[in-house]
Amino acid sequence: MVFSLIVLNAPWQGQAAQSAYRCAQALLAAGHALRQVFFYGDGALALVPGVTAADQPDLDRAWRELATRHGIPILACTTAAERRGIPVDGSAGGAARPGTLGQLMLALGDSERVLTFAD
Amino acid sequence: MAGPHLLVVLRADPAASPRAVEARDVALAALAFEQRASLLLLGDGVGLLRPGQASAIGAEDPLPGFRALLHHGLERLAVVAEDLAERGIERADLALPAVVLERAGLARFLASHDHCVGF
Repeated sequence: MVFSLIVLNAPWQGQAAQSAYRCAQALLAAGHALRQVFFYGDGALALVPGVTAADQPDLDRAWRELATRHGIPILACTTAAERRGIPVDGSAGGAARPGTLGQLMLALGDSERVLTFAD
Repeated sequence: MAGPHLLVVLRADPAASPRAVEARDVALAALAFEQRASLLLLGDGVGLLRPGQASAIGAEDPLPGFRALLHHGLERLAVVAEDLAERGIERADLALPAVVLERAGLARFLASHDHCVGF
């Protein structure tokens, strides 16, 4: 089955981002396809790597590795990012690449299931 | 209209975060891509339809943007009767025309859409 994931929270805002990553891992391990991971709202902070405390999971690195290993598009909405003062030229260095709601719509059209992660 | 029928679900208080605007933008993007889209207001999300809500607190009024969705082909704007009653909002006073569902019928309403994206 083909899935897309939407993440609405930044990594430090509760469990949503961590749950999304674990879900992505589980879906891939079960043989499902992941069409896209889309960070929206405060989740657009995935465009910047931020600072991870020593006792916290490094989600930025985890998403980057997952994208590289499985070739999954990991995008963050540029409009949501601009609302939050985040650079949208791709220079911020986070795991996600700049994306648009149009790309989200295309992914939804290709997906059989869409899961939203928000606290 | 082609592709999946998208249901955008707004549970957040429109005055408390950008989630209402970002939910509206997702619905608008779906309509721009000629996909079917509907909007469901749940919980505090029904505050969107409280008359005079934005002007009372001096905030930007989100209603014109949501009204535009109706003009751009939004199939259904739905609210839950119990959520309205719990917040003292009269059906007759809704700021936008909406289908009022009973909570007991919510599962069937959700199941009539291909994808749900919650805010």
